[in-house]
Amino acid sequence: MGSDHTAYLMTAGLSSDDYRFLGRAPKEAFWRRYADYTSFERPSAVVFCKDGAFRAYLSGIASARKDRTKTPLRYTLVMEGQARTPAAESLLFALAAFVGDLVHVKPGPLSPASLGEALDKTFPEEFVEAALSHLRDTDSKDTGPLAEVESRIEKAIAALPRDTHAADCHVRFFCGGRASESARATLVGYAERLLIDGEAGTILIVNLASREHLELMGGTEPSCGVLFAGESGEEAHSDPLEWPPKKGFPGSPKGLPRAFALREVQAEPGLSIPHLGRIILRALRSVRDFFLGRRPANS
Amino acid sequence: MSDEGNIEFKVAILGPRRVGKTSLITALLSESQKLLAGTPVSIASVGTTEARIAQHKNDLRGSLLAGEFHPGALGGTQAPFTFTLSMSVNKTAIVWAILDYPGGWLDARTRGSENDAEWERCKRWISESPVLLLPVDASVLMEATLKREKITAQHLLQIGQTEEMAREWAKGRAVAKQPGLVVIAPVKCESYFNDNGGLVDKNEELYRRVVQAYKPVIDAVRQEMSGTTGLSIQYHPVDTFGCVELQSAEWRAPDGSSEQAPLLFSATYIVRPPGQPNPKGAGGILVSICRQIVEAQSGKGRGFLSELWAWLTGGKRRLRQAVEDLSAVPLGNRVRML
Ligand SMILES: Nc1nc2c(ncn2[C@@H]2O[C@H](COP(=O)(O)OP(=O)(O)OP(=O)(O)O)[C@@H](O)[C@H]2O)c(=O)[nH]1
Ligand SMILES: [Mg+2]
Repeated sequence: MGSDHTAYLMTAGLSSDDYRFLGRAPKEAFWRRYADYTSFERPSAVVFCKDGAFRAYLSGIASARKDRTKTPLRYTLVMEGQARTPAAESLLFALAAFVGDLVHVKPGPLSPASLGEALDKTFPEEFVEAALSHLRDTDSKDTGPLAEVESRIEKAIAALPRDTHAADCHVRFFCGGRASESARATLVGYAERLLIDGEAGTILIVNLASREHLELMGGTEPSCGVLFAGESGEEAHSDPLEWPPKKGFPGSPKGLPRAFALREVQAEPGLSIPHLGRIILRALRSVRDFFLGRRPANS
Repeated sequence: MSDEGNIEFKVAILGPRRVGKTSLITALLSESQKLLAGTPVSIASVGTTEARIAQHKNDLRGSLLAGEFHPGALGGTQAPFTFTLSMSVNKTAIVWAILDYPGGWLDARTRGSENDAEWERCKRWISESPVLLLPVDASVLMEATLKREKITAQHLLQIGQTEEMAREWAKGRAVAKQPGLVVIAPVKCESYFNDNGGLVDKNEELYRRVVQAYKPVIDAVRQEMSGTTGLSIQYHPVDTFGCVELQSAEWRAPDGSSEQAPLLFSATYIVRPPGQPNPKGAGGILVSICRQIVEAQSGKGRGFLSELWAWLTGGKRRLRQAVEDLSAVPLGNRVRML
């Protein structure tokens, strides 16, 4: 890989269950700010696109490898680079596979799916062991097997099936449950806009937070797509919903009108009358607060 | 302290990877909930804590499948997470906050430079906490017989790092003239007690070994806090699962290693019928913390605990009563004062 983009992989091996980046590590743990909203041990994603550059973090990717105590191991993939480049496309494929794999996620232990299997092929046990022992024995982060890490990541992603399932996404804010097929497809469509068209925005796939945390997680982002839930019964509401960007600024400056989002969700069953009611009520309050010059209600 | 009628009580945990930190915290939170059932106190997890506990329980259920216990189903923690539980009466609450983190971070070599900043935050948390929980892997200590195994046990429990961190904590307490509670909590000890479904009683042996192995840690804390009143060091063995039994333990030399290299330890467990988790011993930790708070009333009026007591006394009488009631709950036979 060239110098304008980078890929990092974290995993553990047989002799230890300490997770290490194989070779170099990202300079900043940019995903950390979402630690209250997701368990990084389980499938989670944080993708930032800004000023034409992206930073992506995908974690909880189950491997078929196990450590000596039979603990199943997992991968964390971090990629950084420029939007609208082959690297961005590569990330899109990885993300699409990751999102597609969410359909197999059940409460309890994880099992490997397409992305983990692809990584397992290019990161066989012998290689991981060699890389980890090289890491233990030397200070150098990019010699020996470690020099191959990026190209092996590329190879794994290149081998992923290209039949990504994306649906058009026109809204600036959107959220949905990961159990909903249309929510997953919409998220991939949203990712296309960020990575291929170079729009600014944030993608979050979280497993602890629920709707009530949306404002906290992404309220300050210019644009954001969220897939949430899983373990605590959130699958029950798996309908993509528009998410008001900022209280007090309905349909905020450059945003598309709210009606777009509502039309989209109508296709999904499960948008309850109370929920719609809440949205409308919130919008009305926002308008009122806006005219009264009040700060958003919960700040 | 917050003006909303809530006060945050920080609890710190200190232990190497795979020792059982996350399991201990989960057991502590769920036993606390049981302890308060039927009292005027409402207890509720805050934010995403409940979802996090649910994940842990699901993983645990997954590891207890089909009569076998696969400890592996509980993978290690990857990033710090603060478990929060609020204990409230009439809109005033004590919010217990326990910071969990990957045990591998104790050692700079396994921490990774990208985590340095976050580790600093964890260390700050630990130093600010009046309570220090030290989970101990009981099986590692109890199943070590040969000299090399015992050396490995010291190594696995990272007694050296633990001592260093505990000393730092105690130093901070002493400088601020604040009291402190150290809870040494052996976990994975279902097989050494006969009071929770087990048949064999090896609890004296466990006590002896824990105190011996942790002597440097205990001494360091005592030494640093020798001029301070209000230090309590306690021993609270906990069954975080309570329904498993050690079947066999194995110490093995890594392939091609030298004579001196640390061994690898692995233990296999079987599930005791009916295989329902039945934690025991963690609730006593909450009781001890409440005792610490109540005892602070006789202190000289300095530090977080006495401030907390003053806060409880000013108009929060029912919450204070709840803390007093909790502090009066008997600690049971397992607990010892060191
Ligand atoms: N038998 C038994 N096993 C336990 C007990 N507590 C924890 N374990 C097992 O010990 C292993 C480690 O437990 P964790 O709670 O994940 O340990 P941790 O200290 O949080 O580990 P890191 O997150 O890696 O720092 C898991 O496989 C648990 O199943 C216990 O009381 N009894
Ligand atoms: Mg843990």
